Amino acid sequence: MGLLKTSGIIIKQINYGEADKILTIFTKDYGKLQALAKGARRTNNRFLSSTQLFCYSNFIFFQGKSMIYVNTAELRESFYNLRKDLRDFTYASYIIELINAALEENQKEEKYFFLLLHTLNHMTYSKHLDLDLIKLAFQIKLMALSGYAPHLKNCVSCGGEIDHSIKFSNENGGILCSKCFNEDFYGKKITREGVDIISYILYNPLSALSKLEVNTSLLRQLNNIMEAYVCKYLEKSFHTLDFLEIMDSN
Amino acid sequence: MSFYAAPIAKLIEEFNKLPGIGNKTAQRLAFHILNGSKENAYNLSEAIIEAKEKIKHCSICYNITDTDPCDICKDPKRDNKTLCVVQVPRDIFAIEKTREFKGKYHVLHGAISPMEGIGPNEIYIKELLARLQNTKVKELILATNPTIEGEATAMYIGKLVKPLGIKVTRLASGIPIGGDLEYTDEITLIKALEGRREL
Repeated sequence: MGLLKTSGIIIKQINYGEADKILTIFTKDYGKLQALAKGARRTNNRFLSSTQLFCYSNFIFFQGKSMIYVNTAELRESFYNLRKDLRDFTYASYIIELINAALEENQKEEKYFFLLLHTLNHMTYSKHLDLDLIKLAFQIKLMALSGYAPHLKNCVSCGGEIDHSIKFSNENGGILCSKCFNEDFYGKKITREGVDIISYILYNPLSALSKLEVNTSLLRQLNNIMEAYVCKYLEKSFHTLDFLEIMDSN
Repeated sequence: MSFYAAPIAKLIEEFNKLPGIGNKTAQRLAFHILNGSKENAYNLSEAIIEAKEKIKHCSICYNITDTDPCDICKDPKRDNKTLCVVQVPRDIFAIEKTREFKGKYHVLHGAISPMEGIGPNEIYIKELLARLQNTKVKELILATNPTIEGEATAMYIGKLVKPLGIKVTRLASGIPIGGDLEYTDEITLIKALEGRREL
């Protein structure tokens, strides 16, 4: 393998030994990989600031006997403002927890990479955008990239036109019309407006989010639907979601 | 199958559980103890048991101590008006080594980390807020680590405490003594510029 030169975003870190860190880095050219950053917790270490969570850095790795080691790390963007507010921090943590769960190691996934990078950018710098809207968009786009884009054009079961009474079914991966309404007992009711918002997000880039206006209660409802959808297809529950619930209830 | 007699194998296994100790080091330590005097072995085992049984959390600051309240909390010479919040007990020893700080401490025993499921209720934040009600504390120094979890924890505590009318400060970040400006990363330089002061 020799030396690997790429850029990447830190999506997980675990302290290891006296002053080392094992980093999970989502790299642009090699996908998700784990690397040991020797001495990365020492104050005089050259990796110190470029190996923090969320940091987007240029890396040079080298393959050791049993692990990949970080040789050089140069900071490109720290997304520093994410740490200034617990809410921003928690939303960003949810995003990287999702991406970590959705990716296999060592598979180049450039589209996922840019989705993550742009999402973190919006979270940090697009202060006019509601965090819940960015979160919703990320979930929808992540599912679409993973091959689980929800079926929204017509009824996922009978193919019929959607009418007044519709339901979002996780089981079927899309919406059910009034005739098939009872096919999925656990499906969640969704309005036509809600379906249109998910469609809009699905077929437009993140930069188009600023044109969307969604009221808070609808946004919350859509987020609930997508959270359940993501948990079902990634077959995982997420710590950060529980944390968000606690924060919202306080 | 172990090649060692059962008591030695067990000793090696126990040493092996310690952080940073592999099988070879565990074997070396076990044989060092076997070859040493009986008295040394007893002293070691007694020290471990004594530490485990006597050390508890101070009921005021949650530092680890063998007496409650701890030596720092009951010291009348220390300033009651300044309280320094740290993540772990070892941070107290780091600050005490400077001999500059004469106030008291509060140990959180962790930092908020949503990904690990550590929320404000899992660390000693509630206890800190209770401690700050009806106290003489005029300044709260947030000395959590300058990592993302530490910063978020500091911001969270800051937001809760400011309405109480207590001055909330954060440890400064900047270029280390003996450091080289050329090799300092951007975040540190930004923090150093933000926190610059008049000579």
